[in-house]
Amino acid sequence: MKVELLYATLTLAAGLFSLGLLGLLLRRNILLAFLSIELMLNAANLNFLAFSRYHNEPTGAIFVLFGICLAAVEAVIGLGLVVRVFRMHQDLGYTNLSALRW
Amino acid sequence: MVKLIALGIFGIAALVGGALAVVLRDPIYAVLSLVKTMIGLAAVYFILGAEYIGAIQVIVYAGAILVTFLFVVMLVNLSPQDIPPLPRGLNLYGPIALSVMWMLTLSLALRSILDLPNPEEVHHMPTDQYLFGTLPPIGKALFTAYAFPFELLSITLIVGLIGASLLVQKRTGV
Repeated sequence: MKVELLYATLTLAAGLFSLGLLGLLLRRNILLAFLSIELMLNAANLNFLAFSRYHNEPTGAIFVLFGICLAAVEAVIGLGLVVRVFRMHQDLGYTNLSALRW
Repeated sequence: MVKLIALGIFGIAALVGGALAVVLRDPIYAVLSLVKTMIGLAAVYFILGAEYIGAIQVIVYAGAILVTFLFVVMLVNLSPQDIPPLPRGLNLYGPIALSVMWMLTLSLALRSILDLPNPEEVHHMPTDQYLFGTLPPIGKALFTAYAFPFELLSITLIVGLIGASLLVQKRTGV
């Protein structure tokens, strides 16, 4: 794999991560914030895979597999929290998450 | 060169999907455009030569995780009116400026990567001989060097499953 392809891939990952960051800052909604977090996780996965391909080592690919599994767990727990918060407040604004404090 | 052009096409498709997911008002459309991003990313993985990870990306991300998101959007009956509109003024331009600066910083930091040598010169071997991205090297590494993290991951999945079912169950008598 040539360096130019690595560079293009990493630029794409940087763009995706910035979009995720933007969404996290702009959307005042827990569910859409989780969507943005998924976007950022994917950008990190793309970086792992690009360097894994560049060095021809399967280690990065395995990290991506683990990352996808952990993203699944994170999505399930996060969506459980979303359902719970919605039942309590009938609303999904960020401030409703303060109910999680004790 | 062909790879670069294909990467550009699918990368731009993924970026457009991500941008739509950020700006669209209706949460169902936002989730569906994120599905588009995931499929574009899977195509990028294929271009990079990681067919297995690309397939996993389509099956697990687009097929399972985002469909779970769709389920929850419909479960909580979120309509576009419930979503606050994008903020105005400083609250809008501040995050945009921050993201653009972050993007520029990352891209500029990446310029140093252009000085890296091609891997053929480092490993003294044509890179296509490694069978990258096919299942045998991944499986071999997963069950030898990474066997312990693999088992830990299964424990994490069980804990997530139990935690999620505890979170959403209706408490009686509380």
